[in-house]
Parts: sequence; C-alpha cells; structure tokens
Amino acid sequence: MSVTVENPIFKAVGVGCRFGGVIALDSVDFEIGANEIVGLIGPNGSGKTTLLNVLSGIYRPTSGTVEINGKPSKFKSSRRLSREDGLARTFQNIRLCPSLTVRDNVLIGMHAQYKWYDSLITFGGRERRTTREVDEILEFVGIADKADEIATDLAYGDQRRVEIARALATSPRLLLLDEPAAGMNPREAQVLVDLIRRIHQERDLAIVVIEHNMNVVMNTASRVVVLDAGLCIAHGDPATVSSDPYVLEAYLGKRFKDA
Amino acid sequence: MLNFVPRSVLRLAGVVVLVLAFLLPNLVQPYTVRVMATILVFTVFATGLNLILGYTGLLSFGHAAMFGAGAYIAARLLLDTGMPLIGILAISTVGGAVFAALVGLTSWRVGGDYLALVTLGVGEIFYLFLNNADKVTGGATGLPGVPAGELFGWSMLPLNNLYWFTLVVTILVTLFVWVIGRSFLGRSFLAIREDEVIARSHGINVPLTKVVSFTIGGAIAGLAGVLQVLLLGFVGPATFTVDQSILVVEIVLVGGMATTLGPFLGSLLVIGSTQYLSSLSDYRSMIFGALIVIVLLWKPGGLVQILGLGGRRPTVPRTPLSLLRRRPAAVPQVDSIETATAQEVKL
Repeated sequence: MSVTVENPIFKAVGVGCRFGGVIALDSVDFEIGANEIVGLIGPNGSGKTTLLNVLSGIYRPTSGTVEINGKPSKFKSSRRLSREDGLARTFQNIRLCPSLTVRDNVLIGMHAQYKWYDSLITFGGRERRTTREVDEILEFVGIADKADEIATDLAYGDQRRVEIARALATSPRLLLLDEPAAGMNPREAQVLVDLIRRIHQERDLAIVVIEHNMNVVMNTASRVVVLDAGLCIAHGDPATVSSDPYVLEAYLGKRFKDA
Repeated sequence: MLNFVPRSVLRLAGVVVLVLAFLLPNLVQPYTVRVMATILVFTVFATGLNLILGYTGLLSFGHAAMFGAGAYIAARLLLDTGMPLIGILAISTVGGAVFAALVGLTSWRVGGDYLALVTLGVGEIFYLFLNNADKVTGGATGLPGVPAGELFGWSMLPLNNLYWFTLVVTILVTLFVWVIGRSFLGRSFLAIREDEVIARSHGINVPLTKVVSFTIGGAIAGLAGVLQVLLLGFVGPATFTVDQSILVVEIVLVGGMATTLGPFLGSLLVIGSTQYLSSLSDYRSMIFGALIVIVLLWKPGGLVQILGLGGRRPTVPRTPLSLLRRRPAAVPQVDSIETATAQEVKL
C-alpha cells in the first residue's frame, strides 16, 4: 500500500490508536512529501480525525512509529511539534478564543516563534513587528477589515479563515486542516479551495486536508488517502481513488462495488 | 455609562484624579487618608489576583496566604533586623512569589473548581500555621508593635509619607500589569484562559505559563502584604483568613476581570463601602453577593464595563462562569485496561 514519496517530511509506519476496546486506528502507513497537498477522506468514524490528532501530538499512538523531518520522533507534545517541527492545525469544530479579537487570536499563533518573556524585555518594537506580520496574514486570507472584531462575532466562513490564519501565523511547514469546508455552501467552499491553493503556491509548506466535500478534495489534493475502519484502503491520485472499488464499497456498500 | 464622553476628556479626568490622589493628604481628614491607603493596599493585592484569575482564568481562593506570607516576612524582618525597607520589600516580594509558585505547581494536575479547592485548602492551612507556630508568628495574638521602616532616609511613620509611598507602589504595579497584559506573556495567559488545547497546539508552554502567572501574582500579593504591615503596624492571623481571599476575589470580579483599572475600582467600592457604610454591614454579603451574580451573568467586565472605561482591545472573558466548569482537553476518558498509553500527552 505504501507509495514512496521523495523526502517525506512526515512519515508514519503502522500507526495504531486504541481507546479501550475501540480500535480507532488499526495500522496506518502515511507519508507527506515536503510540498504537496494530501487529501484524507473516509466515511464517518473511519479514524481521520484520530489520525490527525495522532499527527499533531494530541493523542499518543498505541503502536507504530512516527518520523518527522527524517528523524524518528518519540511522540512529541503538540507544543514541541508546533515550536520545533513547524506543525500547525485547525480543528473540526472551530476553536477560537471567544472573548478576543481576530487580531489577538492570530497573535496567539505567533507564540510558536517567540518565548514567553520576549516582549517583556523588548517591549514595543517586537510587538509592533508581529502585529504587522499578523495584518499581512489577515490580508492574505482576506479578513483584514475584520481584524478588530470579536472572533466569535464573525460569520462561520470567516471564523474558519481566522483559524487558518492562526495556523499560518506559526509559519508552519506542515498544515493540517480538519474539515475546513464543513458547513459551507458551494460558493464558500470554492473560495476555500482557492485559498488553500494560494497558501500552497505562495508558502512553502505541505498541507493535509480532511474533507467530506469531494469537490474540495478533488480540486486541491495531488494525492488522496482513503481510510476506512482504521485502515488505509486506497491511496493515489484523485481520479484513481474515486474509481477504486474498495472506496466505493466503503462509501456506498457492497451492492455498488461494481457501479 | 461614560461611553458618550470623548476619550480625551476621560484621559484628562484620569490625570486630574491622579493629581488629586497625590494632593489628598492636604485636602481631607487623616481618617480618609487612612481609608484611602487601605483601598490602595487592596488594589495592589487584587492586581496580583487579577493576573491569576482575570487573565489566566485560574480560580484561586488562597491569595490571602501569599498576602500573609509577605506581611509576616516583613513584620519579622522589621522586628528582628535593622534591614533597610527596600531590602525588606524585595525579600517579602520574593517570599510571596516562591510560595505562590509552589501553590501554582498544583495547577499542573488540577484545574477549574478543583484548583479552587486546592487553593482554599492552602489558605486554610496557612491560617492554621499562623495560629499555631507561636515562636515565629506570635500565634493568635500576632506580632504587635511592628516599627515603620525608613526608605532612603524617608520615614514611613507619618501617615502621609506612607500614603504617598503606597500610591506610588500602586501606580507602578498597575503599570507593570498593564505592560504584561499587552505582552506575549499576557496573551499566553489569555490563551490559556480561553482554551488550553489551542494554547498548547500553538506552542505555548501551558504548565510553565500557569506557574509564571501564579508567581507574579504572588509576588504582587507579597508586596501588598508589606504595605499592609506598614499601614497597620501589626500583623495577626485574623487578617489572612480565607474570608480575606474571598474578599479579594470579590474585588476582582466586581471591578472587572482582566482589566487595568478593575482592581482599583473594585476595592474602592468594596473596601470603601465597608469603611463608610458600616451601618449596612449586616447586609454587606447580601449586596455584594447579588452584585457578583449580576456581574458574572451580564457584565463580566465589572465596574470597568459598566462605567465604559475599558480599553479598545477587549480582554474581558465573555463567559466567566466557564472558569468553573473547565472543559477537559479534546480527549475522551480512556479505559485503563490495555491502553494507558493512548492518553493525552500532558506537557
């Protein structure tokens, strides 16, 4: 099942994750190249978000090994993954700091590059510089005019963009997007596709997109991985995967296997 | 309430208030100066708690213990040594900080209402310690007759000098917390209050930052303790009960969590009313209880929000009650049989 990727920045071999008797991930091999967009799809409960949580250090896998940037990693905390390995993620249910402004939310992303005592010592200059960087990022994702609004007052699609902006503020090398198009109408989803492509073109990073919206996956990903019941059942470019009999079976049931 | 007033007028009014504060001893009776000094001491004390409770969102009911640690260290040093006051201030502040850091370590394991219980226990233990360690703390009678020290040859004995000193310390501490609130450190406090998982996955060292918050808050409380000793000339356990911790939580909530002026406005109302409205003292708890409920439900910014004095950049928590039911990190409880490793990675 494993397709070799040149210089993978992230490599998981036989990763499994169990919660009591529930096998959320059985054994998954997964590679992410330095500059590609990987789509991660699968029916509900197939382990996509668990895989993402394992990648981003929120869960500890029960079996298998993970390699980051070519170095074998004892499973690191999400803080160290963010600071040392340039890994950023968004969440399936939007998680913004509800009482803070959009700008402050994105500034929180900047913490990956700074120490906690930083602007105590050099008060002023550094703060202004980071604020300028944040404004650039907000401009980039297209919500610069809403920078001073409270984050949770924004429209749903804009809240998604704040999350993406916050992830970009950590200047990641690997960006994990967990269902970025959930709850969006087709036009908003199209804007999102454009945004993901723009991020990929203008910033040198790899992106993993978990998505149920096939339009988004097929239009962004150069490679698609299909999970079902904690196993990787298909792997390849979007066109091959969408006609794969196992994938059709997983999504539609046995009857449609030959459809 | 003051939203219609232009900000420039408010700023001018602030300057006028500041000048009046410095001229106060020439304008009013000594009793009023004493009350004002008490209010300022509690402002400093509450500013320390504001960092822990308002910014970092950690509910602490043991803040009077750090206050007391600072006060007792200062009293012992003033009684036993001829150390200059500046040294005593430094030692008491460090003492409060170390004590608070130790208490803060418990926040690695517990959060939300459990942390409130732990700190409540610390406050109670400290009170019992004060009562029973006769040799060090003087037991239930406390340490009377603490001499006022000298700061660079400037005696703290006259009330006016002490008032001015307290005023300067209050302004410096408020400025210090204002700077912190605008720095990376302040923002990591706010991020932790809002959502720990977010803080962690964006590179913030959550356990360390919590301890730092406790340490700075405790240091400020220790400093307030010294001022309290200088003002009263006496320390006794009754000043550092859990009631005092609850009073300061009250000040922070009423004044406005995570605001710069909140601690001052809160202690102005809470301490001022206990001094001047003593005829209402039977109803005090009732009135402030109702006020806190109102603040928590509708005006989380407290007096600062009600008066419309808040900054342009909001830091006030929108749902303060959520501090009590801190949601667990995005991790389900794991059955222990075979998968103890599938737990959340802690640090």
